[in-house]
Amino acid sequence: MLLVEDNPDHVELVRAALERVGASKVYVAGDVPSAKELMERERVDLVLLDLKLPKADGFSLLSWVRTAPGRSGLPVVVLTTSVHPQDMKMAYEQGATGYVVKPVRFEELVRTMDRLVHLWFPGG
Amino acid sequence: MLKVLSIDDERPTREFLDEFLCSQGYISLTAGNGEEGLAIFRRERPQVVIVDVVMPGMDGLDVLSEVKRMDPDAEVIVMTGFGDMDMVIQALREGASDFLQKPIQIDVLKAALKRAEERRAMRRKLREYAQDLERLVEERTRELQEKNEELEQFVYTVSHDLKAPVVSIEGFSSLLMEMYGDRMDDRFRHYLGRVRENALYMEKLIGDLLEFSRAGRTAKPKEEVNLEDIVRETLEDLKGKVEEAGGTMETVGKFPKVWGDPEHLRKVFFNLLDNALNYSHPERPPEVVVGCEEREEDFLFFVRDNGIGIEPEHIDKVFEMFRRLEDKKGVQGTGMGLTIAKRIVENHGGRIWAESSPGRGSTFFFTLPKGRRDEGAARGG
Repeated sequence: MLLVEDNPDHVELVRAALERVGASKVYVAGDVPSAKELMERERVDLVLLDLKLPKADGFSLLSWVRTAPGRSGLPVVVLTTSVHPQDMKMAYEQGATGYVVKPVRFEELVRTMDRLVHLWFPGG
Repeated sequence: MLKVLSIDDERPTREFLDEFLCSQGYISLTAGNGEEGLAIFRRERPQVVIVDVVMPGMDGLDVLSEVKRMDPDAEVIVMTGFGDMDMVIQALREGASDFLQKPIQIDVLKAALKRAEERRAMRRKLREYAQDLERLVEERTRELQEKNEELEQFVYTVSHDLKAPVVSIEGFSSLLMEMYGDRMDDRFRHYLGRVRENALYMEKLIGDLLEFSRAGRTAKPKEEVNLEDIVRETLEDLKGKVEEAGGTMETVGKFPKVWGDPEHLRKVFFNLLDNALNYSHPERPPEVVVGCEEREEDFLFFVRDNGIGIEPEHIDKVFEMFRRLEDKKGVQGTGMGLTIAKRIVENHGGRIWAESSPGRGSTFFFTLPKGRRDEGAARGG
């Protein structure tokens, strides 16, 4: 799994939430270029993608994934604090698999991660 | 130069007018009867027409109404012999701007022409003002709409940025509680609990701010909304809260169909009913009634409670942003519910207000217009 997130706090919190649901192998990239680099190098089965990122925004990674040979079917779930309808619309237009608004409650974040992990890794 | 058309079947009058008008620098046109006059009018479009009221065939009144039909701005001065006052009055009623009595006196004619010119100038100015004003209103409306959209965009961005640290604060406090909770003393746990509660409150404030900015504008076109359904569903949503308080919430009368945004209107009912429950009296369970009355011009809705009521000096402040009159324990609101309701009602072309007897209860009223109201100047709010 790859988490693309520039906020170090949120990286820690999402990691902690993922650990609680048994997903411990998580790559982290703080911006789009390093995310691309990592995906060229490692096998990734699910991407959790923040939209507001330094250098290039999350949408650019989305379209990169969707047009890349052999990777176009990779599930990319947007994970953001933005509730702007425009962001959601654009994310789906660019081929996002899902759009999740970061919940404020940590327990809710754990539940969200649980749902995501079990949806894409049903075997555990 | 002004073109003046004189129409009279009497040749001497015609010639007199022609001579006079030419000597005064006007462009003079003449006709010996109504039909001929109208033909010249059609071709030459004179600004002023002087016409005899009594003529064989087409009379002055017929000419007047034809001229006015062709050019409402044309100045028509009617001429009359002695004793035709009734016809003069009728002509003035039908849009003649002045009258001259025969035999025509030069001073009176001069004055009548001067008045006609002044009226034309005045009308032109008025029209210019009106056009300027319209343009100005259009410009300002567009500016306002742009500003509103900018503001909404801004609120979205800000709320996004504000939410990030709130997620962090809640997340780490939560982790602390989870991992070290058994090693904390009561005070430690209490303080940490306060931190978490405030983070969640902050989230609510941000959410309300966002909702408020959205309430001012409808993104989608308005549609027919069945308030009967909306009210029933809202009562259903609040059922748990009513039962918890041991109170009642009921409707009186039928609720109409109105034109609007269903989610926004749902919010109005929800916020008012929720508010009624939040400010219930400590010594009695809440009894809340929501109703509707059809009036000639609009629909009047009310939400009546038996709660703590509002002091008269505070009655208008309840709709202000982030205003909570009583810091009641357990009231989880942010003070935005009524503000949002007000914004939505006004955006739908209605009014909202409150009446109250302190200690006995309050009634919130709001109106919604009947029939369809299309988006227009009201947009933007």
